[in-house]
Amino acid sequence: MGNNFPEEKVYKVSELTQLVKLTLETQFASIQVLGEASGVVLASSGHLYFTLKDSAGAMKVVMFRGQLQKSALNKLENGQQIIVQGTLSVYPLRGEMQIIASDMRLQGIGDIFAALEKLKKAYQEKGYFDPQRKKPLPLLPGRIGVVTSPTGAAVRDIVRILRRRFPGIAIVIFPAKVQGEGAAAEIAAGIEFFNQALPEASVDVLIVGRGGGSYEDLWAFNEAPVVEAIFNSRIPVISAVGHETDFTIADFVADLRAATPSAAAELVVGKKDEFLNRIDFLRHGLMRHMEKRLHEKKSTLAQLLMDSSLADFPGRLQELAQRLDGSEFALNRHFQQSLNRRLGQWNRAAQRFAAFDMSGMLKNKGLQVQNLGMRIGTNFSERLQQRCEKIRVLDSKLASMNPENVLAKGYSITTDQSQRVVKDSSVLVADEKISIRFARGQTAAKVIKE
Amino acid sequence: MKKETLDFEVALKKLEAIVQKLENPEVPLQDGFALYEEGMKLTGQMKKELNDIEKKVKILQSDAKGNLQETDFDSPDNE
Repeated sequence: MGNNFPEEKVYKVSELTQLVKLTLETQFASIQVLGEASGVVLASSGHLYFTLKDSAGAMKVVMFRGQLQKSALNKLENGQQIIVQGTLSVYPLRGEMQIIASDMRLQGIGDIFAALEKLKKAYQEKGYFDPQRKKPLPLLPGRIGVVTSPTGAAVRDIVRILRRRFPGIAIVIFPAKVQGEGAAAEIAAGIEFFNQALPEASVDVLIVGRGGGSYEDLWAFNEAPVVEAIFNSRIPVISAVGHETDFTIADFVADLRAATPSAAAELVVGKKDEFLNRIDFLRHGLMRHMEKRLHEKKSTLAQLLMDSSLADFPGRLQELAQRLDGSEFALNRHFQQSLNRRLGQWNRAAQRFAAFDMSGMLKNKGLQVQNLGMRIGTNFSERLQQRCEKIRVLDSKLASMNPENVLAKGYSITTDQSQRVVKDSSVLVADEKISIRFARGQTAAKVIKE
Repeated sequence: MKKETLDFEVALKKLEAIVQKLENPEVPLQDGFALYEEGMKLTGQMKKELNDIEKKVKILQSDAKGNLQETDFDSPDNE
């Protein structure tokens, strides 16, 4: 057996590993390898170590700090499908084969991201994302349309949350395939269906979305049919695709983007309790303001009744009557005239007061109060009546003092030629011409002295 | 159904405007009372509308003729 080796060279381990290393590095100087990352370790030195594997193989990978900083993907997680670019080499100390990575990226993601960015830019330039295009959501949607898979977690989350927030709210689900071939067309058909529905079948807001998945799974929401359908929808659309970190073109073109389907349900309708509270709050506001208003009017009325021009009127009449009493026995023509004048004034005032438009007054100041059955109205009219009554009494009192009335009782007034009232017969001389005034008319007379 | 809810939004705005108007002391009492009555009527209607909503979750399914029809959606959370 030993004979098989004689002329063969015997390598030292280090020689061999160096030789293999050189061979590999020459032969596989620049390769790309696809696999799943596992055992990811970022050393304190800043170098990244991991194993790249697939179902039937595994290989160590090292990415030195300098390359890692420049890499398209600089944060690696276990389980990620990645493509590593680098040189195949050997780690001489252990004789292990390894890839010295110069760059790495998520599988497919580079293409997807690039495509997504391109699409996003194109739609942005076409004005599809303009904020002024965004339609406001209805405060309380009568019916909520949902375009999603009827079997996924998304539809269950949406229905559960909507019913919790607003029991009894109407939800209509348009079942659509949300990934794979034909998904975009079905989603678009759902959006168009609701937009073309008859008013009674229509909805006030649409939730379009699906649960989480890979970028490929969510791709339908980047496709033109969906984007165009959302753009052309007259019904406000909420996009709810995947998780918080996932973004699709549908999210940008939608009127509102919800981080998740659950979040969409939260956004689409307020809590029923909150609506009821708001109405109650406004109802109390109405009552409070009305009470305040009535209270103010009540005060105004009281003020009005206290007002001197009204309240003092009977007092002033009384005063005048007293003055009249004092002058009762000293009536002369002048006084009488001025009295008559005053009487006329006061009569007119009294008439005005008696004829005071109480209904108009009440209409202007307190009609509504009466309508409300407020007692103040009644008080007011009673007090007015009392005052009118007082005025009537005073009025008749004044009337009884009117000299005309005295004449009516059969008395007469005698005046001399200088129109002085004759109060003493001794002042008269025989044949003096006098004038006698009766209740009706007057006559000239001559004094006969016996 | 749709019309009612649009009315709800309009009604809420109207109600808020009424409360605001009633707050203004310049508004004559007659008008104030009319506003009050209207507001109270509105709140009653709105509360009734909110409490009367009792709808089911529906799913659209194709009927024999291929037209989409609403049918009840059976979900474990759809009590």
